[in-house]
Amino acid sequence: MGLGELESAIMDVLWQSDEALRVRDVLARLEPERSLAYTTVMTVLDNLHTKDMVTRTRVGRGYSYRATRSREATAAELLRQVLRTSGDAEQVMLHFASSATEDESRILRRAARRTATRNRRPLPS
Amino acid sequence: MIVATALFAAALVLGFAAPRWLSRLAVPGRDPRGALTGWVATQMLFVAALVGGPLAVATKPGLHVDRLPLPASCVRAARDEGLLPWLPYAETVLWVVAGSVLVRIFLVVSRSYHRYRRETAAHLNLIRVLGGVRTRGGGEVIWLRDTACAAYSIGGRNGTVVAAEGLKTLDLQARRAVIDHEYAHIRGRHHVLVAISGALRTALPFVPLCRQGAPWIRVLVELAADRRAAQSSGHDAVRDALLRCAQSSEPAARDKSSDGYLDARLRWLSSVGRSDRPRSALTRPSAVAFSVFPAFLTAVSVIGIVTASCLTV
Repeated sequence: MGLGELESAIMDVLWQSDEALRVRDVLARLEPERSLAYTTVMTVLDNLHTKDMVTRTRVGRGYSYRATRSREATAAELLRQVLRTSGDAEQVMLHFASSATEDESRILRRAARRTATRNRRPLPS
Repeated sequence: MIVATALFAAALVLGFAAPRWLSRLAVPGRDPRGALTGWVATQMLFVAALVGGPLAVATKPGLHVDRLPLPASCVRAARDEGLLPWLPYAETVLWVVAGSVLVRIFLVVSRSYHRYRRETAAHLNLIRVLGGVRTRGGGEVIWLRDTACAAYSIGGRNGTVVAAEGLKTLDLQARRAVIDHEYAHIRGRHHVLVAISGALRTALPFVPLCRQGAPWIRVLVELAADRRAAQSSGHDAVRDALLRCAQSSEPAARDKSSDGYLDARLRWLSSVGRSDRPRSALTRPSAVAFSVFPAFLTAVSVIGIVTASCLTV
């Protein structure tokens, strides 16, 4: 799970708001130094809808948007996702956890066993 | 051609036989950074030998030297007299095989690297919006509002540690150990090592060095980070943190193999020396020497065999 820079800024606006926002409301609440076109914000909101980050309701000819999940719920979901993908070959985030793939567990157990066997071997007299 | 053959033979030996001796480097009580360096250095040497082979065939370094060494002058004389009619075909085969392997490595590694950069940046964007309190110790820590006892690190130039607020149930020393563990990953550039070894595994799954290297490197970076955390925060703090986080993790995420993994990690941790600074200075150089030696031996043997065969023809 991840977002582009503008997607993140727009999600931040939606999370700060208690009510659903239209494209022009989001545009108005984004940082003033960002001179963005109306259609840019509309496209990004549409992408966020495709990613299931926002829900939308038709209002007149346009839509009003709100975040699908709260900030806290999204944080929890993100964390679960990172932990679930432990040991995934495509996953490059390293986390402090006790889970691993079968391959990784086997490697460690085998190396530890080899050492234990070596240590048990009687010393030559 | 002699140089190319020697390099190609070295690549074959490293690719297919190196896991046999590299897997013996990891032993509880020994610094895991040695084994980690050994695996990474061997993978780098393997790729370097593959690059060097076709390069030597293309550039023919022997032709640019006035006084050729004995093996080269012998092979040149034999070739000029028509005793080696198969040589051009062998050169072509070597060039095509090594070249296609290299192209595959390049394509897969560059694709993985770009995906890694893109996903890391996207993940960081989201984390920065989601994150609550940020604290600074050795670097930035973003705390997520969640009850899980977990933390993870994101690599890159501005590596970041993300921690769940559930971690605050640990005592201060154990919490510090978790953060130190994650910073050890960032400082050691472990994310890059894991990413590259994963890409090599995807590119050449039929080569044991690449296939076995990826899980080994994943395991060794964890052991190296545990060791680093144990040195800065104490063994007991790392041990407590590992046990507490394991107990609080979701049962669905815990299986039999994970329990074995935790036990093995704790056993490794308990054998870490309290002070091993004088020996640690030699760990990496000796691991590199250990990796280079078989490749060097193979190359020298190939040159010896070529010389002996040429002189007896």
